[in-house]
Amino acid sequence: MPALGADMTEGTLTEWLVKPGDTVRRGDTVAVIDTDKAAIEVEVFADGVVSRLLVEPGTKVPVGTVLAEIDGAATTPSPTTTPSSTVSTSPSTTTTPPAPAVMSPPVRHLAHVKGVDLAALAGTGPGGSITRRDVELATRSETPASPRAKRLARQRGVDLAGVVGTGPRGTITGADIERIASAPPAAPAESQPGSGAGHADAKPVTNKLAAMRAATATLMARSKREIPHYYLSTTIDLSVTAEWLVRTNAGRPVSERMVVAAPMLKAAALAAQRVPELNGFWVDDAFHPSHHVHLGVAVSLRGGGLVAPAILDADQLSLDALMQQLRDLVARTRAGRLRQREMGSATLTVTNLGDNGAEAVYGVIYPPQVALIGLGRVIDRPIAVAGLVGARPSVAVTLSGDHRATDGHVGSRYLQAFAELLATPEEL
Amino acid sequence: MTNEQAQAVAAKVVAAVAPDIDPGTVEVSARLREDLDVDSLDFLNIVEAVHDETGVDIPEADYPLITSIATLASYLAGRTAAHT
Repeated sequence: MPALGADMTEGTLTEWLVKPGDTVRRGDTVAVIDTDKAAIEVEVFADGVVSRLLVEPGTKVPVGTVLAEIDGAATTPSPTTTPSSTVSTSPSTTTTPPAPAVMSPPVRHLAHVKGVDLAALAGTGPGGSITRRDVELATRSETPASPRAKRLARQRGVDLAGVVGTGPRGTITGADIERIASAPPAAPAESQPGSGAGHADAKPVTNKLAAMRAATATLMARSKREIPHYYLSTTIDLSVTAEWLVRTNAGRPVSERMVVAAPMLKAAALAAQRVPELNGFWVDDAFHPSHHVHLGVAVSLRGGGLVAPAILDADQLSLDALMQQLRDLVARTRAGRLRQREMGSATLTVTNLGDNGAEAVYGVIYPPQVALIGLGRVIDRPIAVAGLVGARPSVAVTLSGDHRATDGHVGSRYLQAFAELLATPEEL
Repeated sequence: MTNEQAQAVAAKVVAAVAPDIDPGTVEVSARLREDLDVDSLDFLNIVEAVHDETGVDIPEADYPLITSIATLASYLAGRTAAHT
């Protein structure tokens, strides 16, 4: 049972995704574990053949309990130790094994052109890399489906092959996926408590919310107890970004349109490259910078609750890819299906209050990170440019910083970098 | 598309992004953002679902017109009437 968060002490195995005799490779998801925050898909960190499943679905066990045996490997899933231990087991290193799939640029381009979902593809090339043949096979077996249907199918675990489409010319629509996903499960009766909002009866959902609230309370209290926070704030003129966004979205189908959060998240990730003192962990009385920028995104859940999974290597993603990952991540977070690599791996987190939020947010840092970026609601403000005042879309950006790791000067440099990056959105 | 059909589609797509909303009983004049807690990503999902279900593509410039299930319904009725 891995520790999927800094304060996790036990978890419930809700579902096995493999059975004895299955061959697994490093990075494959093998089980679903229920924590206070979400149902997390857990990956295996070794290659081998599953020999024995040791824990029954529905059982709650302490962190560290061996869940299964795999021949050809030590134990599985690899116990992801909490970040408060030594640097060699810090989240940024333990999550590199299941990193984004490896493939050559021409293969990646082919996958993009064919609309193949790389996240669902298993590579058969050396070291698990994805080959051209892997992409072509995936294309051949894909039934025509709308982008929304493909996304919903991935999120709900519905196999597109064999789905009868009711859209134009037999295309599979989102409604088709929703119809199948909400049908009574044909699988053997394995208790899957609280696997989707609104499907369970009131009591388990309430308990889950209460448990989530308690977990958040513990973490936030610890943060304020241990981290001496300082706060900086700046208001950024977004008119260039907003105009660029309108131009870019015009003529795009809705599945490719971006929200203003996308360029802001990309700018936050790139600014972390420029000011690396804010990207990493405070562990054992010292700051340990991370070589990756895994950007945590605070996602509010309907009905209450806040989860902050990470977009891995957000600084390396194209803006379009980051937008797709953001949509996917938020949807899976709200559906309660996150992956292990997304939890506990953020090196820096952004909390975006969005359209309904207050003008500015002075947030609480998620330990062991050393900073939190806050984005308020985008509103028109009177801003002076070249001596003339006009109403311009703008956003109040705040930085909460761990004063053990950095001073206001470093935080200011970060906010300055963030503003500069947003001023040239075409380069994001 | 009749007004009744448009309202049914509108209620359905909004309820799909907000599973806690019952399309049969929701207040159609409730504001999507302030009252039903629909955010910008939810809104994109609504626009996508509308396109999926009806073939109507809502351009970004028209987003401000869609503030509730009622206004979404009248927008859809208007758009589909023009096509017949």
